[in-house]
Amino acid sequence: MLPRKSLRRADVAMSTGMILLGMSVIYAASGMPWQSTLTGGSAQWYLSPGLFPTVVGALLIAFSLRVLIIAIKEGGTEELVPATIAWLRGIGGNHRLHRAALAVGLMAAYIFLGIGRVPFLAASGIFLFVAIALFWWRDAEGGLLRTALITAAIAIGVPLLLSTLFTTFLYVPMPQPAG
Amino acid sequence: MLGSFLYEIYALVTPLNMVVMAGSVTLGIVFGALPGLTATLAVALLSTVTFTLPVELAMVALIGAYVGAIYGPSHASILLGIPGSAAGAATALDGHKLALQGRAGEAISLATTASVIGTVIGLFALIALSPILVKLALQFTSAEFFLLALFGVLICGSLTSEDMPAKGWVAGLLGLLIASVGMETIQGYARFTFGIPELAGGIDLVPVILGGFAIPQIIRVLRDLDSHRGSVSGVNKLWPRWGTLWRAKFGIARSASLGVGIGVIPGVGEDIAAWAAYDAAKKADKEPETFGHGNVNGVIAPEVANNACIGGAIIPVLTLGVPGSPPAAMLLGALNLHGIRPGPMLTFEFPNFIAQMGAMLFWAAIGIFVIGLSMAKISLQVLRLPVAILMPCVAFLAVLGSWALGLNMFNIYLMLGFGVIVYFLEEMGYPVAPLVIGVLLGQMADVSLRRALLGSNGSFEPFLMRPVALILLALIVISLCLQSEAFKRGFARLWTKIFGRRERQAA
Repeated sequence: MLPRKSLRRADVAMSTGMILLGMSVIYAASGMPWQSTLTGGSAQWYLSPGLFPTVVGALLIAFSLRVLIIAIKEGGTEELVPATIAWLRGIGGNHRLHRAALAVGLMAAYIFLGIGRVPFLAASGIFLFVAIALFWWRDAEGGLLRTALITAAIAIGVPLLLSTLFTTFLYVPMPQPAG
Repeated sequence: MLGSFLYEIYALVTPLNMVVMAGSVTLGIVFGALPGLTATLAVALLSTVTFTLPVELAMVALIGAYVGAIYGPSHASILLGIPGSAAGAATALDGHKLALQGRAGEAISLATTASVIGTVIGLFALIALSPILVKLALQFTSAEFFLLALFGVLICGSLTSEDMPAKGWVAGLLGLLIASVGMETIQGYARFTFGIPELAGGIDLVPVILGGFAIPQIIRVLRDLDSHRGSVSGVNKLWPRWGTLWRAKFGIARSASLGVGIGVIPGVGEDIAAWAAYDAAKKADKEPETFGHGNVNGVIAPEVANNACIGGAIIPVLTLGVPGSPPAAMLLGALNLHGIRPGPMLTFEFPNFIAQMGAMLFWAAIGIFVIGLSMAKISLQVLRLPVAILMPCVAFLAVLGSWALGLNMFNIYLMLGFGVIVYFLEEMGYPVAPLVIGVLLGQMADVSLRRALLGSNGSFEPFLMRPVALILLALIVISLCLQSEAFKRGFARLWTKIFGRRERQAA
């Protein structure tokens, strides 16, 4: 979780977003059929598909409003702009953020660019090799060749073993490249 | 029920069941022990592997992994001082101190035996309380089911939110909103599909759970790789010390009651049970200042509680269709995948199912005793596996699991997108458990609300006039009001006004 002061600033933005989401849910639900003759009646509002989203949307607004009020009371709006600017300036030196972004980027590349475009085993092997190399090699004990060999063995062995298990015993075909 | 349970203990003994139980308990222990991997993840990933198996075998595997993964963190907590889960963190406080004093074997054997005792007490609670709850649930109408779902989501939000309870409620409502995506079942109207055909059938549970529990964990673990890790060098004698356990018998009973009680509350789970039991043990101990410095009761109490919580968490799953903890939520999902609809009718459709689940818990308890103690020395080596290697493998498994159930790429995209959103939500203090419980209970809440209103021609009478509905409504109102400082101050004033006056009069 974020530090308390930053958390309250984030709460202001997040709860505002949630209130807007609640409003848009109610708006979308209002466009759903509210008159039904499904069971012989004429105006059975309580059978409407919009009823449940409306209830959830209303509660979402109410609870998010509570979060917003607490966040404002605890100084969530203080120095909102300067703190955001300072955070943006500090991105270059924020190594935790870099690693989190790298992890997401690698998974996104594997899923959106790898699977469905190149054979599944190759995409998975490349993903595992690159991910392990980027996150483990720096701290690995032993020489580079040994580390690289272990990484290669895992990158080839894990997808091969599991995809064989899924296709042979569970009859689950692996994703194939389009075309 | 006890007769059926004893019969099922015997009936489950087939070579295949025992091999699968041993394998899944081992897998669960490894998952629980390795920092970053959780019981929920173990059950979620295993349910994608077992969905083509017969129900009994699949449940043997899932229960074995569940029990193993709740016990497993004790190895990492004691040997490394780094808990594999939040529940294990309570064990780490005293367990690691004992290990550093050269008593690692004693701490592991106590944790193992305490976990076995907790699991057994939990399974007896399951067998004893389930028929009572089924009788009660048979009186439930749609109004009660709607209120139960709402109560489950809100109480889970209140108890799992580390920052403010309202964030837990918001997370639960987001889950309910996600559950309302797709073709609704009463009028067949497509809600919130935005023209995407894959959303018409609703959002699958497995990508949501894998995304919600695996992806944020992978990101967090890889982000915080610099965390220092220290470990002990050896494990001494592993045979359990029965005398120590006998002296802690009242503490064990208290921790088991807490574990079962907390397990029954929807969505709360093993983490809170362990901490509550640790806190209670510390308060009840003659030497509370020794807690955190290697007090054996600090190991026994959380381990009894978190394993007793398993039986407790399965009670509402089987009798009401409401999960008692995040791993139990995945178990509920797995039951749905196998075409079993838990709830009050389960005992009529599958009369021996609850006894069978009890018997599986029994064999899993035996499994953690035998395998857990045997693995203690190997754990030292296994725990040295770098998480930087494990996490990419978990990401691969999450992708494979999301793909396997629907054989469509959309589920994989959904899993990643949902996981990244949950990561940001958790960073801002919104817990994931109520969100997942909301997704699980959303359809029940939606349909029950409209059915209740249909039965009363749009009147809210069923929500206000039926005794059980009124109790649930009162619980919802109380759980919401208890979070308000103004309500608490007003209540305290009223209390002082009434009882303060009486005390003065008595004086």
